[in-house]
Amino acid sequence: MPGPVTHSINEIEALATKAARGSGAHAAQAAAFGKATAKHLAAKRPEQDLHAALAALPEGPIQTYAFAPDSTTALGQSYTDDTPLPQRVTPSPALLTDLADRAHNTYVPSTEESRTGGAGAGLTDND
Amino acid sequence: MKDFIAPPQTELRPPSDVMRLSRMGAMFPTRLSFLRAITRDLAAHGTPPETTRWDMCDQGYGRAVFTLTFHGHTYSLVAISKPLDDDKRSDRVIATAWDAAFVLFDGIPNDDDLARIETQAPLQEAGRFSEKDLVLSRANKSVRLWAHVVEALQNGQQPDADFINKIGYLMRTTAVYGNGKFGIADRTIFSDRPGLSMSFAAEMLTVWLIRHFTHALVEHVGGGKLDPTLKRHLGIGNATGLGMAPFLVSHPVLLNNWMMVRETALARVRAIEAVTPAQADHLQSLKTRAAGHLDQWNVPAEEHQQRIEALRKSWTEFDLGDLAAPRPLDALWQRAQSQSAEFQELLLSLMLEPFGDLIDGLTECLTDPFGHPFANSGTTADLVTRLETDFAWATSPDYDAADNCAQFWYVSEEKLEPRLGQRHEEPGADRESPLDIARRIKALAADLPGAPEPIAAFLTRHPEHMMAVERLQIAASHPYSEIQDNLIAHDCRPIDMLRAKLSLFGATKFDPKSTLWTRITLAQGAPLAEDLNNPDAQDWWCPVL
Repeated sequence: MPGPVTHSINEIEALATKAARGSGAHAAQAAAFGKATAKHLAAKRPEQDLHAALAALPEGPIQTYAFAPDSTTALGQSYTDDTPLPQRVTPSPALLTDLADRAHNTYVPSTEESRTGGAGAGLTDND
Repeated sequence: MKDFIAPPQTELRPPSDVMRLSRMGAMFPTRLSFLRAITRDLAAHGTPPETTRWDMCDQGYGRAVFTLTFHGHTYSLVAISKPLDDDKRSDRVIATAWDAAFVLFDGIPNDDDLARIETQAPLQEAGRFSEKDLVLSRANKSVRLWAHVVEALQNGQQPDADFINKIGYLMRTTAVYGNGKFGIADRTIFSDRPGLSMSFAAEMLTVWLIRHFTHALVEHVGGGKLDPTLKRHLGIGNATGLGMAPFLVSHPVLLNNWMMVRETALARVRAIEAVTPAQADHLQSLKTRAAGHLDQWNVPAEEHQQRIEALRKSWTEFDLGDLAAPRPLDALWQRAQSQSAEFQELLLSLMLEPFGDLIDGLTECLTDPFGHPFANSGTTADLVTRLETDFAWATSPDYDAADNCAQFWYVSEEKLEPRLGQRHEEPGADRESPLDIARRIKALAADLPGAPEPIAAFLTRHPEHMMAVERLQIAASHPYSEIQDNLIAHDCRPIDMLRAKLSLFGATKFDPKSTLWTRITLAQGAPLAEDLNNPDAQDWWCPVL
């Protein structure tokens, strides 16, 4: 495909959620960070805030902003922002790599046993 | 503007009854299932699909585009069909090649769009898609039935009705992706359009069009036309596994709304004071048709086949009673309470079927337009009260007991396939997916302070309990939001969750292969493209060939 690879909002939210969980965020906080990440990118706030918040886990703003956001920070604003989202966002390759690497920690390595014990395919659950 | 006066209704069934896996695993499709709702809507506000491209070789490989309008918007199914070796054909999420790949496109694709989709769609999860691609799917042939139908048509004959009935579909979808996956459009892009606001409307439209494609393709390869009665009985198969189950847990508001629609419909129908003789006859004939449908529902799995046979027997023996008496449907419902859950759920579907005027409007509520933002207000006292009144199911078990935590949900590195592990027997539980809602709720209960504390202060001390707090908040205004069972217990059967969601879709002919996955048929008996102008074609509950 020509041009930068745009992403849907949902897939960025899902990836960022997994990245947070894979770095030690509690489940609800990871989901809130997922939503905030999409807003952060849509508002073109610095990606560095996202990297830093993930790197601070299992401490830091991701664990607390979900219920007590600090709106003096750019990331905090992304938690409370209610501006309508655009249709697409364009994360940088560096951010995508960081998110994917961290999300990988939520996957369990496959073994022959787990593959043969697994189920058939199906209609997706929309993460 | 006329005021809407809600029809009378009886009390709703309590969540403690409805939201148990044993009952959810007994659900049947109703006229309020998504596929039923969308075919009614297509008949009222859609045009039949037109073949706008047909670039297929004689063997049926190439690409096709079918275009229709729906509430004034244009949508196209793009189908890419490629040869596939038998030993590469797999229904597993981990497959890498399929007989056909599909995109539901927003509009009519031009040559560039088609070229892009032709490259990306066959890659499925490995491809990238755009906001014009609303749904992504793939399907495999039912090889034996496909070959039989082609041969029959080539010989100027119709295929064998028994064989069609036995299989029920020419192709089986093995995933139908929506809502932003792999870069396709978020559903918010189209969810305020009439026709597509209902949950999974875009996916159901795609499935209906894929069915249309399979008919067109087999007629092309066979060089003949199928008899419409046989064609109508060919739906789309689906192999559904664990991937669908977590959705019910991660979308509590949506689950509540779906179940609330169903329960409200039941309550309205039960409150009907009198049925007309015509409605009584209709109920009787539907009951007979359902018996015929049950007779044609046979599955290889012995335990399940026995359940079907038991249901056939009790269904035949059950009398609808005096439908001329007052509140006849409530009387009939009360009498059925001594029957199995499966019987009751089939009866529920029967009772809803003749009363579209009374209940079809409820389908507008089969969605979640508002979400449920976290409420950072109130105190822990609210949570304590809620736990005591509604969450005994979660706080009673001892989750340290081996049986009560025997299973864990997780996502495999391999193709990100959801799996269910045995905690005491295999590694991976350290990466467990957060679907252990009941255990989390009990953990919250154990840490709540004796004296009320503001929520934010409590969460500052115990951030690990935020998810459980959210669930309690949602449950306060959404009674059917939680599956009231322990999803990590040794006896948790994901198949029960799959059946619930699939029946809401409108699936029939459940054919469980294990406790982890099932085959089903979608749109069997559904109106064909040529049927959209015929109101009788919408009467496809419990199809019988």
